[in-house]
Amino acid sequence: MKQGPLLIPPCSQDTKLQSATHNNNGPPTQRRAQNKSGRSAAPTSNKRGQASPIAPLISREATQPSTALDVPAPLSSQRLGKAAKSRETANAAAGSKRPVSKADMDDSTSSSNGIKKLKRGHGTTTVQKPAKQTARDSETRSKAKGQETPVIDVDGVKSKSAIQRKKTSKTGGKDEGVEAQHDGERQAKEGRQVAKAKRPKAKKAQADDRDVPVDRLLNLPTEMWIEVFSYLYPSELMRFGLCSKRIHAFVREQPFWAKISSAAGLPKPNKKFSSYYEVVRFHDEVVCEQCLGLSTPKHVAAARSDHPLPVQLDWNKQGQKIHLCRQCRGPYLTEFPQYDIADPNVIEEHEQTIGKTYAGKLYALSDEQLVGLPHKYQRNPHHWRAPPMRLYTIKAVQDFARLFHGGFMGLAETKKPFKPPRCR
Amino acid sequence: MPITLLSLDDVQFKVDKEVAERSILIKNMIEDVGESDAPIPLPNVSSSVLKKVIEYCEHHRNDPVQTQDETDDPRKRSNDIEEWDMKFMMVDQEMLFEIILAANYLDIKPLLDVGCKTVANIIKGKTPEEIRKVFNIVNDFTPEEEAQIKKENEWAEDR
Repeated sequence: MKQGPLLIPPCSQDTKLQSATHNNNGPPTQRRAQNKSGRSAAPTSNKRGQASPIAPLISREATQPSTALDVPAPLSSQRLGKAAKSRETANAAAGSKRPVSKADMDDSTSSSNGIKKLKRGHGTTTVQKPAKQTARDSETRSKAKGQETPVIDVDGVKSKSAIQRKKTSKTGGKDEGVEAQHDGERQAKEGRQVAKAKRPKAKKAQADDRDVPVDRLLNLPTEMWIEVFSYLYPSELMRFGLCSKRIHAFVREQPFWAKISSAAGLPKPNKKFSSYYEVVRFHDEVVCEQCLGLSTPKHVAAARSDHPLPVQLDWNKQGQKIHLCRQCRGPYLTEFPQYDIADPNVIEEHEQTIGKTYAGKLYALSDEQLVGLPHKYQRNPHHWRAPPMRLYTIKAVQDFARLFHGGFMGLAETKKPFKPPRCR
Repeated sequence: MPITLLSLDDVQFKVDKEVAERSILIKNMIEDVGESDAPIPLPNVSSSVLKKVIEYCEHHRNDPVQTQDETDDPRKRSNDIEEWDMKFMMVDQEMLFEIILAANYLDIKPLLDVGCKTVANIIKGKTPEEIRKVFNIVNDFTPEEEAQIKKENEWAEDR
């Protein structure tokens, strides 16, 4: 029932009291009772770092039905006062530390339920009501006016008050539970305005509020997402992971990455790479996204085009790229020819011819690669003794280079200064 | 012999046995219980979704049973959706996810595949910004975080 004690900051009582009395219109006795219950709610709302204007309203709401019972109003308010008092006694015993009942945290109690409990609590209190206690009530009331220090009550009827305390703390707890619920609702609404919401509960409510679409996105079971991801290229999934923090975290821990790294023969997560995602991310320059093969040429100074090169993804012409190894580039580009993609390197006069050296330089092709292309021989105009020149038509070289490098994008990539992959 | 399906919100659908048996769940259920007039309750599927699913099953009633072919290709193609299926899947996202869930529950593999392919195609070839727009995702990265994470993920980066 009782959880860890919570300290009440000295000022909280006053603000609480003020707001409570301010909103009050009932008879004085009732008001005092409300003050009490308002106070009892203080730690909950205070803990959340806000003065709660709703709290007194609720406490009235909770009090009024009990006044509307067939017992006369002053009597019931007396009982309330007593209830609050015995509670106070308990607090005082705990050295001005307030025990918070578990119901504080429990939001499931509906307000009507709370009221019912409150009523029942009163009913039981009425049964055992000696004249002595009425006197004590008045004492409490006078003390309540002061509201400064908790009353330390030393009385003879300890067993009785103990029973009472037990009961009233229960009702009080329910009361607080109701208020906590209202509090929670209100704060969920205000959550957006409160920028520095440090309270985990409010933060969660806020996040739920805001991220409803994400929730909907992630409410597909993980197996479904694995199915969906199996249709994506790794870079596409990685890009999907950049949408938001939650999606990033979700994407990172997918078995997808383990599958890729085992397909590509990458190392397992170790000291250097904490997860499969990291492994794949670090080797992105050498893994082909289509066949998931690893292209790691033995020699360090391997041509750039030996590595997977970016290829324009012909999907809806969105301008995205995937990285394909040489084996995959050809078939991909045959399937999705990219003649319509503008490129500054395109030389318009396709019928023009081009020399071997120039062609190799312009399209990053080696002599061996150029040998197979259609060409014609011409006598070398500069040195008549030299072997005849091979002249290629520009179109042929271009087409070959595009297939070889993966479109103009790959070609442009090839021409960039070579930097060895990070993973070497 | 028609079979009655009862949706979550107590709407009854009368379908042919052949159509209903597109769903492996229902097929097994019929095999287990035997022929009866009692409606089959589907407590996970609402009537609007069930209507859609039945529409799919009606259209694909004569399809041969899909054989599970585990190819060596680690990647599956998502651009081979039939035209009718593509049109069928032109629904709002809420419905799309519902259909996938229902297909999973009812164990209708081809429908599940089509649904997943559709979701994959939505994600495919889009920048994070575009994906956010489509799924209505709020970007909660700070600009620095985003720059950092983009730098880390070179594959994802648009060069």
